[in-house]
Amino acid sequence: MFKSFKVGKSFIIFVFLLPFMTLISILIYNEYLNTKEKVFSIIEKHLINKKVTLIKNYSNHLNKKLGMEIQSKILNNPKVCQKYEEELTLLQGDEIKYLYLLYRDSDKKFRFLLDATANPKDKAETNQKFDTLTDIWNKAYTTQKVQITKQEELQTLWITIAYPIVVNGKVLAVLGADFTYNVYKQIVNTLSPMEEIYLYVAIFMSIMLVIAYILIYLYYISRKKSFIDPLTQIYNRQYLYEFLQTASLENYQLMMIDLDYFKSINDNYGHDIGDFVLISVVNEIKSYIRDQDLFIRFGGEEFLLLINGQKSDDACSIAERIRESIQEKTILAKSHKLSITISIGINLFPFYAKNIDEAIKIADEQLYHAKIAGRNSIAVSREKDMKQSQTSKRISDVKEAIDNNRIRCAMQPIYSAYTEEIIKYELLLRLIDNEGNIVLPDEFLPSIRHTQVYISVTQIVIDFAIEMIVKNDYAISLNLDLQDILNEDIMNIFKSKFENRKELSKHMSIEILEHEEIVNFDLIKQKLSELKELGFEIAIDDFGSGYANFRYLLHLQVDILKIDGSLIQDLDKDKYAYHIVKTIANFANDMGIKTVAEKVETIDEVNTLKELGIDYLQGYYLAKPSFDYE
Amino acid sequence: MIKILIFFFIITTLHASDTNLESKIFKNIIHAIVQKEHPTIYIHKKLNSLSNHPGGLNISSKCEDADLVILSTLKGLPQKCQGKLLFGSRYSHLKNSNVIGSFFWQKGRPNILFYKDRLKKNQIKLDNSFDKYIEK
Repeated sequence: MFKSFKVGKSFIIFVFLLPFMTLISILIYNEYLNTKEKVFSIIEKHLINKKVTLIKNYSNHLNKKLGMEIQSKILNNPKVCQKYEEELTLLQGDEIKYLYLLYRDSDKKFRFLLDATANPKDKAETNQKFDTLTDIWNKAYTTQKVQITKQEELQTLWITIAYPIVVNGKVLAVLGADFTYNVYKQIVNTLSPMEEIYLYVAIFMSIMLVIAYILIYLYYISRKKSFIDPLTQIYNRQYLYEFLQTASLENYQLMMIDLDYFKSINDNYGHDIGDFVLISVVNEIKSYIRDQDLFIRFGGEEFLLLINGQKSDDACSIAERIRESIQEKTILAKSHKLSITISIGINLFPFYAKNIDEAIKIADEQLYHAKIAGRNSIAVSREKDMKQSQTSKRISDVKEAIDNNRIRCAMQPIYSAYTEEIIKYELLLRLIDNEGNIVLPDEFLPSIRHTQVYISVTQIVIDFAIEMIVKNDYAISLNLDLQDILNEDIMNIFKSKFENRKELSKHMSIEILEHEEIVNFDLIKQKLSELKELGFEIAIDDFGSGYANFRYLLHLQVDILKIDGSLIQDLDKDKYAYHIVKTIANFANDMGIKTVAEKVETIDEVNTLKELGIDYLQGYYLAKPSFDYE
Repeated sequence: MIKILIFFFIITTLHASDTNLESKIFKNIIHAIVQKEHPTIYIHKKLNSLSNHPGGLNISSKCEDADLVILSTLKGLPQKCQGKLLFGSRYSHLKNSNVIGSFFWQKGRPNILFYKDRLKKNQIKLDNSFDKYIEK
């Protein structure tokens, strides 16, 4: 069962409006049946009254003509009998099947006096006995009033009328009239079409109702499936946003949990065992949380846990228990005994964040610190971490872009100033947003810096560079922040991909960009040496601006200087810029360091840079960045 | 197609209920006349109600074995049936004085008629419940 479920308008229509309309249609149908019964009764009464009036008139006629001798005159005189039978035939009409005159003999048996039946097989002889099935005939004699009955047992007859012929206060005979069943059918057939319409509408609405409820059920099931991670059977990231539409973070503390070195389990034991480890860890964590907590697989081996509780100790103590439990757990997977640890970042005050993404980012930053601290540890946000990020793209946008393969690399060629041939390509990171717009790294890297997502993005760029080298035999230049080479995860990626693969690394330059002043030159020097040992060329990006200065050249073994674009753009207008570029070029030339001029946008700039002895040229004048890799 | 099936079902049901009722009435009459637990009858020509629902009756193909002969017509009555008790299924059958009684449908109603003298001649004593069907 979901913890919460957002009810849409269509759901309200399905659940309330459709049953209401179905009920109305059934009530209308029922009301129609009642009305039909009333109409039927009115028609029936009208028909009977019409016939009774006719019979009454004829009874008066017989009374006047035959009087007290009605029996004897008919029984004793066939011609009289024939004459009155002919009259009776005229009275019969379509709706009366049988019309006859009976009398009661001394044994109280009824016998025919007249019979208007035309069919000789069905016509009774005069004085023939008439077997009565009902007592209306005797009642007509005793009450001297017209008797009417419905024939339930006889299938060809509908209603029978027994009309007593009273002379001088004595019943001498009874006129019998049997309505044919066809009259009943005619009335029913006249009223049936409307009944069928109402019935079909009621059935249609009922079927619609059943279908609607089946659809709701299927929708509910599929919606539930869409929120459940198929591997671990816990909620996925989509459910987090669904959950927050009806719930507040006010009473929650947020944890980001990541399995340490999980990738090595997948690499060494295969994905089946990797999946088994994930499931085992999830089950272990589930045993430490309560129903009111929310446990979500946020992606890969990363989990998000919302702990319901307002005391800051709650989340910290639960996190510690979980961490210890996982550390002590031995996972038996296909004869392998595996141990794993987890790192946890905690945001104790997610409600203070501008939104859930900011809250997650803070937890993710803490997770990063936990990783930096050596893994298998917990880092908790302090109040100063509550300040909100001003970046336009959120961490979740980048995660979503990674999942949907929307982290892309454009390539811009770098030309030889002497041969004017392409000697390498610079990879330029881009994010394609949901609307298909290209987002530059400045807009999304700040929000993911110091998070695991940043590592994932770096991995994608490195994989792409390798693909280009292998597939197209290109030389590639890759940008790294100076902090990146201090990051153990990123360095491990380079080592895992390029160690003992100099046939790959010799085609790759790493452009180092600096955002902060270098404090520990020795450590930087060590890391750059490691990269050079792997076979990479090292370039200093944006040389001549900001922090990037000649100190590098004293301490670091640099292969390439990439002169800052702002100097190149002012080359023609600013004599100081010209002389700086000239000095850099001369110095680099003397030191055996290659030079690259970027942001070259005019032919004059190309010619000047050639005169100054710049080795490589890059810029819009020569070629724009492109996603066309062939 | 469904309407045709429903119509067919109703017609066969009505027909079945008519023949069933007729069969029951015939059986009551036959038991009253023959006064045996399993009377043997011979049906002259065809009488669907009894042929289809014989119940406790033995229907013989030989007239000489029969306790009672049920007539659907008087025409072509075998010589061997002469002297046997005859019972009609039409009012007109009663015109033959050897026919002791008849059960027939008239005006959509079942009618039973016996003649007292014919019953007496054949030494048949019917139950009192048949009195109203006996004509003097």
